Amino acid sequence: MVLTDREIESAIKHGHIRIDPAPDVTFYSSTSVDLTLSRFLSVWRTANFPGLDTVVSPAAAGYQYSQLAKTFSEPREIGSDGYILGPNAFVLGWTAETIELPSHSRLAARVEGKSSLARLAIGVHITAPTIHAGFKGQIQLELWNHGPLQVKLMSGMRVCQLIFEQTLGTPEKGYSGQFFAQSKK
Amino acid sequence: MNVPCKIVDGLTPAEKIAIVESADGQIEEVAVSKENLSGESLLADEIGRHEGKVLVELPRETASGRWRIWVKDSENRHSAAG
Repeated sequence: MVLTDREIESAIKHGHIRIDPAPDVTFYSSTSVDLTLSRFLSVWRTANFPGLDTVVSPAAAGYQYSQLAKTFSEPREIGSDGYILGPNAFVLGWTAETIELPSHSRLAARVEGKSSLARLAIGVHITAPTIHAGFKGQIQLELWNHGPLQVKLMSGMRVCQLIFEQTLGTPEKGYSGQFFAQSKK
Repeated sequence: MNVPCKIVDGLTPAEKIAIVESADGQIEEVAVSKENLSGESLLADEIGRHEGKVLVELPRETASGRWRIWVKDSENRHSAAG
């Protein structure tokens, strides 16, 4: 069941959803709340000369994401002039807001794009939109320009929306595991 | 539950990568927010216990795609808040 604006505001008021900084009333729609882009981006780069291929194998034994990130990512900051996301370009970004969905709230969420950016062919996630019950932190965005235009990203721009859904019951972790494996007996 | 981990910088100032060893010696890396850490520990939720091991749900999916891992019971300690 998707929460309406009134239910989202009520959930925030009662601490079942935490958004910091709190969204202005203009950031709500009937069934979502907008979030903004922080100034931090991360760009993947690859080896770019003949004879050297960059192949990532996440399923390999000993795969270390930290080493991959250290070797092949570059931090970028969005300055006052913005950041140009060119055609077919991909960057990681983060919401400026920190989100918390306490496990006992019986809420999860989906981060989705905004139609204003979608019509420019800007996507904000790649098949990973779920904000699970218990989430705490800034939301990572996979920003990808699918279209032919160069699009300027600005820090603080409305970049995505959160849609909150009620879960059926409280997840196991909300009970600190006290009912672990009971259903399997 | 606090799971001891090694912490290295992530892709932004707000992101850290927690490196956790599972009960069977597997190294798991998970990119998290600062809010998911407490000192040198990763805050995780206990799901269950079995033969000296604790099944925990991590705050984010690990680089290997796991949310839940078994860790050694002796390596965990409850937070002050319980």
